[in-house]
Amino acid sequence: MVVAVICIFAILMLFDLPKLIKGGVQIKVMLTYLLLMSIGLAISLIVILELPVISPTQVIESAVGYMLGRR
Amino acid sequence: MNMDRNARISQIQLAMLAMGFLFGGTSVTNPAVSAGRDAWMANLISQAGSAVLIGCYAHLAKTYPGKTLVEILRGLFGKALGSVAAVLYLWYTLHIAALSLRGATAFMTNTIYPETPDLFIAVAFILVTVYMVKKGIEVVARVSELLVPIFLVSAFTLFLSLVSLYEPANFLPVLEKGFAPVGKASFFMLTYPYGEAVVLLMIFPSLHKEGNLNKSLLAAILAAGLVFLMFSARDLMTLGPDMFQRATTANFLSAKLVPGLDIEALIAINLMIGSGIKISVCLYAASIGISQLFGLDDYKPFIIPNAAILVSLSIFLFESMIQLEIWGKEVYPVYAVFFQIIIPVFMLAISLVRKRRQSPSQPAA
Repeated sequence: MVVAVICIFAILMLFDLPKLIKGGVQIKVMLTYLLLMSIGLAISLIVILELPVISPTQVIESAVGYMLGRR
Repeated sequence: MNMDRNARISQIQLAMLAMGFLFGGTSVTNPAVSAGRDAWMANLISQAGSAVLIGCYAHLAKTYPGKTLVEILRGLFGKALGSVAAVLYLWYTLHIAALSLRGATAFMTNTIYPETPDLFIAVAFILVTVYMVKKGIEVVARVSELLVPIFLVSAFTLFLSLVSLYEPANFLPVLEKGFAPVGKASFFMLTYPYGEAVVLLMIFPSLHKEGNLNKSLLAAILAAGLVFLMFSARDLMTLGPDMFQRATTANFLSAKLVPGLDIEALIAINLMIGSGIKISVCLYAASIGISQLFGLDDYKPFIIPNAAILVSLSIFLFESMIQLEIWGKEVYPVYAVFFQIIIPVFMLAISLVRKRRQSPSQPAA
């Protein structure tokens, strides 16, 4: 499954990158693109590998609970 | 700088886009459900509140014509603080899109396609929205113009086909449990779906004539409010107050009760229309926002990476539909207030103070 996810991301990048390179985009665009893809891949791997990473919703829940004095 | 500066959408297209955005996943989940018999009252109160709130967003857009939310934030708070606020808004935009996607996929896999994995539905859904957003906001607006009337027609059809089952006595007694549940439901509804329209601040610069913004938004609020009121009345009169409050997908249950007809697929169609438009708008807004934040010329390279984040985030956020529902009711309204009310009102206050300080001849920064 991990290999499949990496392959999907690789295909997406192979689909996009030649167009970006051909279009002569700024280096900043390329870096931002790679950063976003890395975030997407990282979240996908967390989901697939079922890593015990705290979900953003739990962080938000804790923050809201703290603000409302529930904790 | 960047974005679809040449993209122009008409007044009616913006109204339809805003309507589709507001409908979102409400064809399945009724946000006023916690008010029980008094859901109609919560609908009306939240609609009135939304007129004020969305009016604030429109006022901001008019004060800074041609500027998106990211540009307004940076203009008001300065580059550093404005960028931080913009990042938070970009997160919020992707977050509500992920919530919407999760809600839609969970509904599909729980009711219509029980054997299909969530991921498959999510990917199929996102591919269509990616295609639309890649074609530009004009295409998303045209699709809304085409599909939102279908949503309205099917909602009215469903409302009328259940007339024989209606029990108007289900509305009584009024305010049986006092005003508190109504107030709570109204507030929830103000944050979901009305307040989420703050994301539309990324779209407003594309309106052909910005003077028509108020009319478009008012039309969207009125139509959305009427549809929500219709949903609440229909579900309450057919299911009764107990079932109405307990059911997670009251609208779908009502559709199953239509005598002699099997039209619950209309609910799924409406869900796909509403959620599709909402996710497209959010995806567009997030991509434009990122390009503006980094000072880049084009937003299109970021659509696919954002879509990839969206799909994985929609699965990562919650372990189950029940968790999503509890979080949505208990945490979301408080979390959303920050983005929907506190920051926009603060922005509005700053812009008004600045406007007063400026001479009348000078335009806003």
